[in-house]
Amino acid sequence: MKILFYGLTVFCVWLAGLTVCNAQYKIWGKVLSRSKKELLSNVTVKISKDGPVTRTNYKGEFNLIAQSDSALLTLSHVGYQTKELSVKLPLTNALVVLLEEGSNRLQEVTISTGYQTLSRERATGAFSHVDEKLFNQQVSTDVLSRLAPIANGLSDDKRTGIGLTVRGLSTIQGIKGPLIVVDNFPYEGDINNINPNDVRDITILKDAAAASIWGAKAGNGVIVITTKKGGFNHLNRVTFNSNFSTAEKSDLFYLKQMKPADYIDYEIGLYGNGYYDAMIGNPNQPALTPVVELLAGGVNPDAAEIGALKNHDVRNDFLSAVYSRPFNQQYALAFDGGSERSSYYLSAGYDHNVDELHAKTQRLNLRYNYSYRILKNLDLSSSLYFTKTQANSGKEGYNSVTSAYGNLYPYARLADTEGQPLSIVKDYRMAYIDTVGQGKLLDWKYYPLDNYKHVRNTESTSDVLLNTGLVYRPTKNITLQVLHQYEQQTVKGTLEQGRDSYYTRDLINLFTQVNTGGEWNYAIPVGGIYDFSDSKLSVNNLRGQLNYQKEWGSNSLYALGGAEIRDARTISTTFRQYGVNEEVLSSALVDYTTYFPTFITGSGRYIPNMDGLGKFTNRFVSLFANAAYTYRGKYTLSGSARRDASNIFGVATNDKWTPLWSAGLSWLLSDENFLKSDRIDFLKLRATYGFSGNVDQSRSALTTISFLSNSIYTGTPYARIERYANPDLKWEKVSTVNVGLDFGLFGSRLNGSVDYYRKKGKDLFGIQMLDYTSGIGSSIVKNVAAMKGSGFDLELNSVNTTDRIRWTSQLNLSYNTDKITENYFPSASARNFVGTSAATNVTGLEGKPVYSVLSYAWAGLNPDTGAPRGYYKGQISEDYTALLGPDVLVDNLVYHGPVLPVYFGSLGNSLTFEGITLTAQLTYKYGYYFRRGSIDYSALAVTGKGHDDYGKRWENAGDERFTDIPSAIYPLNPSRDEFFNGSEATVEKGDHIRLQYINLSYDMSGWLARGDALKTFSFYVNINNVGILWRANKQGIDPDYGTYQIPSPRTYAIGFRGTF
Amino acid sequence: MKKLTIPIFKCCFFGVLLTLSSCEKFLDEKPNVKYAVPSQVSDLQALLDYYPTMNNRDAGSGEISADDYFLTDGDWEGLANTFFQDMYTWQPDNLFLPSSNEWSKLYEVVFVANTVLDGLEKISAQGNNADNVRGQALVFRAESFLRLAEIWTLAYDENATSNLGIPLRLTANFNELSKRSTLEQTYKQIIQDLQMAVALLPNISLTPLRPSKAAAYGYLSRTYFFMRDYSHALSYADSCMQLKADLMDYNSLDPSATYPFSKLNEEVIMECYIPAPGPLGPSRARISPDLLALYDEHDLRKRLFFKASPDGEAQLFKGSYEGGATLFSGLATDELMLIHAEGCVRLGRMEDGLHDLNELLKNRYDDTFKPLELTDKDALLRRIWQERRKELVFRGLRWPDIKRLNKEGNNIMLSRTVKGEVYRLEPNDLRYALPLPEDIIALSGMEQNPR
Repeated sequence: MKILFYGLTVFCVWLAGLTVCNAQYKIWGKVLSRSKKELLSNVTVKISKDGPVTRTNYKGEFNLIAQSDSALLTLSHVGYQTKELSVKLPLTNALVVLLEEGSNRLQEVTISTGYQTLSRERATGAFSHVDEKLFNQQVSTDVLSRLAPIANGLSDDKRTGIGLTVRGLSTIQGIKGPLIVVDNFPYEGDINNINPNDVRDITILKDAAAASIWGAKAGNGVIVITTKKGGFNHLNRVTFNSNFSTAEKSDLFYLKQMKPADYIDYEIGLYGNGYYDAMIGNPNQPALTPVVELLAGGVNPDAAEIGALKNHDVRNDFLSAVYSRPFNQQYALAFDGGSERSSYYLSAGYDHNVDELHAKTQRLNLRYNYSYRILKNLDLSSSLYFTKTQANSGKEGYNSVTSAYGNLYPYARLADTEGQPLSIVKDYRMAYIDTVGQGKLLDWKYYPLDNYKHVRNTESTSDVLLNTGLVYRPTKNITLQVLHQYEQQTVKGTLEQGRDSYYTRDLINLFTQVNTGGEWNYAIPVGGIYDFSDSKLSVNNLRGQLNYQKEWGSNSLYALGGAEIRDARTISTTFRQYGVNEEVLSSALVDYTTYFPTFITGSGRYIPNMDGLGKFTNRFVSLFANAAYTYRGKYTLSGSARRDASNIFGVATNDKWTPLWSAGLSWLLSDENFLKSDRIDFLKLRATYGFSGNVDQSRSALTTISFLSNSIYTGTPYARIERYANPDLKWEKVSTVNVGLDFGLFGSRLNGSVDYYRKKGKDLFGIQMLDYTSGIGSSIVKNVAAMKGSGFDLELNSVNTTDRIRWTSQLNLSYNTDKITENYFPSASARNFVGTSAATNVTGLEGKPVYSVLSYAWAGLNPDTGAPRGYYKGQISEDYTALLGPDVLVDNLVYHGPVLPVYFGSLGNSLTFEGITLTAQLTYKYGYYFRRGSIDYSALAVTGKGHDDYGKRWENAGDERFTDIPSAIYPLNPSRDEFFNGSEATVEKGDHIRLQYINLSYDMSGWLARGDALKTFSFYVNINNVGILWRANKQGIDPDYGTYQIPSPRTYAIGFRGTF
Repeated sequence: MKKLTIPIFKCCFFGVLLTLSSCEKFLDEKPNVKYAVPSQVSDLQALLDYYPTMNNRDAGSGEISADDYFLTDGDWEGLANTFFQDMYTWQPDNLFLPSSNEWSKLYEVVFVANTVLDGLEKISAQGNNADNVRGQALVFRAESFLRLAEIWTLAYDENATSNLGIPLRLTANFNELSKRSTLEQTYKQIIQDLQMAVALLPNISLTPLRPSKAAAYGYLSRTYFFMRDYSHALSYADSCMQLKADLMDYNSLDPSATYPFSKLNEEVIMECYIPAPGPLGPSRARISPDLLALYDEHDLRKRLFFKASPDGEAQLFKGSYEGGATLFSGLATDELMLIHAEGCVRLGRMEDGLHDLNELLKNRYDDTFKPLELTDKDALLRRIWQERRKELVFRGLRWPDIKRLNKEGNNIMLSRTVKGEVYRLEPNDLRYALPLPEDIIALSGMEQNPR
């Protein structure tokens, strides 16, 4: 709340400083269709070229303010001819305007590249544009999560961690995500700082001509986010948006946890085989689960004590005692307006989220944007964006509670029948910690329901983004621009593990010393352990740019050129305090240099020292130029060039510079006489070719060592080798050919674009296998690889009906494949290429996608033993060492397909009736595979990680007819488990269709605004993550999340927004 | 106003241009301050001080193959790794995980040492500090080569010029392909490195984690000892003991402690350890009854080194000079004392040898100890071998000792029983040289050890 108060104070101070507008004339009226005489809603009404804009409400009414005593009105609407109207002011009566049905140009879309804004007609590159209306159909705290379900060519992969990609992959080992630009400059801070309510529109730069202006960072595409600004000659306006959302609890039962009874039976089996004997005798007192502890204490496996445990599933404990429904609130308020000389935009946003584990996040955004026309040809603009986020940790969820062997045993009990927190086994045997310490040690038990009360993890982020720009137009043709952006983000983290937290009690106990005289000493003083971290990012960007624009005869030329420098540095510190007294906030010193015998075994350990410092600097210098020449408004030739240099380590200055360029052509077919038709409003053919790059600042050309703090043995800094010499280090390069067609047909009832592209990546970082006798491990990363990718993007927007019910559709369909053309792999051993379900690794196989699913051929279960079988040299085999050995080559593997979808996209449909709009957005992915994960008996024994498939395992002869799950055996055979989990039997198709969100909004402007066209109010309801409509796999797995992640629960939001 | 703005713009552009022209300097800033290109002696010293690689990752495959312990069938089955099961039963091949194994870890030490040696050359460093760092790197390299030879080659004997040695990587150039040397070349390189180091190192180093002159002498002595060149072994043991010969009196230790010894104690000349691999886990490896029978009731080591297993049926190793359950594998004065004793006896200096032995045992037995009076050379040698096995238990020395003694005709026959099946390893069997990891053979085309 404190930050809210603080924010409002600042906000009020700003409000007081607002400039007020000049004399104004009101223009009002209504718009009807000429033929049917029906009121037209959503008609764009504009005064002169750069003047104020509004849209008619559902009663066809509009309302505008003009700054002078005459105005030229332009009225445009999809499906109608644009009309121009000149009016003398002041008006005495309402205007009535009739619009003619018929063809029209595409609605004008402006594209922002971060260096310039240009109209779609002039562009040769491939852009995809998301407007504010589409963007705001979803409710979220962040910006990026809204993009994948609506934008063209964009795909988000949560399961593999590859994340957001534009047109698939362009690199193998490099950074895979696109460059994110906010208001002209790459955004270095946490993108979650940006409030979605401040976003005006988003442009995605997809091909080389679009992106190459961003040079060495644009290899993966660019997402340009433009925030809202005020405009000159705009009426003062207040906009607000507020919503509340909640969600279902995470579906813990989605996870394929082993059934408690199965788990216990398996433990009984292991115990009978003597598996736990070594642990029982171990002086380290490793933790044993309750069942093993009972068995070790002589309890019979059939005893009721053990039987009773079999009926308890810990997930029910979590759902009832830990998880609750989240509740999120979002408030946003903005003021904007402008006079002839100045414009302003002022906004405040506040988000308050409480998640299902009671973790709280608050965010405050304050934004101020002011432009002032100092002279007729000189504009000064400045903006300040301030974000403050405070996040606090919540309870310990299902995945964060660990226990004996690592994973939580499924029959754990978190609370007794009265709901009192119970302890569970954590690091040591219960029997041991119950008795040890003669009362001198702290309680050594772990209470999962209670522990969070003693742990406070807070992270507070503040971010200031300061933009200053001067635009000077010395002549009609020339614009000079200097832009500066400064960003400072500080993140302060505190992890307060109180005296009663398990971590603290455990560490204090471990370092408790008993002298020969029987005296007890605490090497770590009794008290809380607090970790502090502090990181400060500061970024300076300076850009000087010259724009040239000239039109003569049938020619026009737009050109720009400039230079920029950029410096981003991060300074971080971490430190820890021991023995914190929470009441008076005092702390105590500890001895980091003594090798203390630890309590349980006496083996020596140093007290953990968490202090550290770091400083990172990334610097870039770039030169860029871009030009477009158009002849007769139809034929455009464009080109761009850029050189980048960075402080990438150890590269000679000459090699730091990378030149990148692109060229493009476009042809406006619809302006050619031979294609003049009523049905074709707009038709443009585009073709481009060019290069962009991919830079990874963490690479180095020289053998690089990295210093650690002082060695406890020598008292001097010690260092390890961080990077091995790589004299051939270069930046990755991606070339793209793109051919596209933009169209608007049937009176703009159907418009969209289709693009075909081919990408080639060269000098890509790739793994080179090494003879590890060299001493640097078995592989090294060098610029040795190449790949290609190709695909198409189709975007279709249609107005299906325009009558009382207006039905519009929006389709995005993308096809993308990638293929590695060069990647050195001297070892063709199959094992290197078979992935696991838990991690998605680059397979890197030539001729196949970067990420491929490859499996050991599967010969079914042995009908006599239930053992998994594969093929070794063409013969059915159960020799797992041989099956995983170097004689089985990658050619012997079965190739399923890519890990990333080949076809993906979305389909949205909106129906509007009397101000009520219903939108449903589908997303789909098709043509890919994933490994689902199954029972791994060795992992189960060693780490406690089970899988529900255990219940489906082969037990008796004949079971092989309906199951592929191998029998449980002892002794454990990790190779057998690895083979099975890497075999064809555990691969699933990822194809699915999902109903991503449903949005219902009701435009109440009519009765709330009483006909004032400038006032709008609407109420909306949104359901997100509605569910999967169809999936190819029969296991009930959500392919976007896999087996080990819980799918995002369905969320429900209600809200209202308006303008007055 | 207009007059004023033009100069402003000129200034701005001039500023940008100026910055661009000085951008070389601008771009020389390090991306991470903690990164450095090793360019000073102190940088190279810092690399050698990186103990997680240099000191804490010695190889235990020899100890796993040796005969001081056995596993119950249950524990053998419980090994999470079939490679260990096969190593335990002396299988002829496929004993190592691909990519990351003890071979790669030992050669990582060699690589760091070579990086330091190349680095010193490149910056042409001179002076005491540079000498010291060069000497340390040579000892680390030699020590790793010696360990590699103990595990992956046959014992040194008269066939050393034709038997396979290890690949001798002497530069940090990782693009060079590996080639196996002869056993003769391997030992020659180890000795040459250590002899060079002797001339460069200070007598005693700041910490036993850094090699010293005493350590170089000690490793020379150990190397010659395994080459069965006892006169050189004796004279280097002598040189080492001139610099450091402290012995602990085990009577002052508490046998009831979980770990009675402390790390870096006064006997340690050079510190490194084997992180107890699976079969040698502190609750798995049961002490061989024949070894246990060698300790009598007055021998303090019996209770300091061992404790009863939870089922009471066997003894387990507590750990020694690491003060924990990992296996000390560095150099300590007790080993040098025993090399000295054996060297003396072999060269006919019976009394000196007996004196050495009594000096050690005085500190290992309780106060009932009476100095031994052995006059028969063979009897004395046998006692020294016994004490060697008892004293240096789980120090990574038993495996090369078996190989050495079998060359002396001791005819030590190893045998293990797993699930009723008996596995044997005859003296001087080819399997005494473990197979190179198969993936390395595939990658480098090197010759595999014969079977």
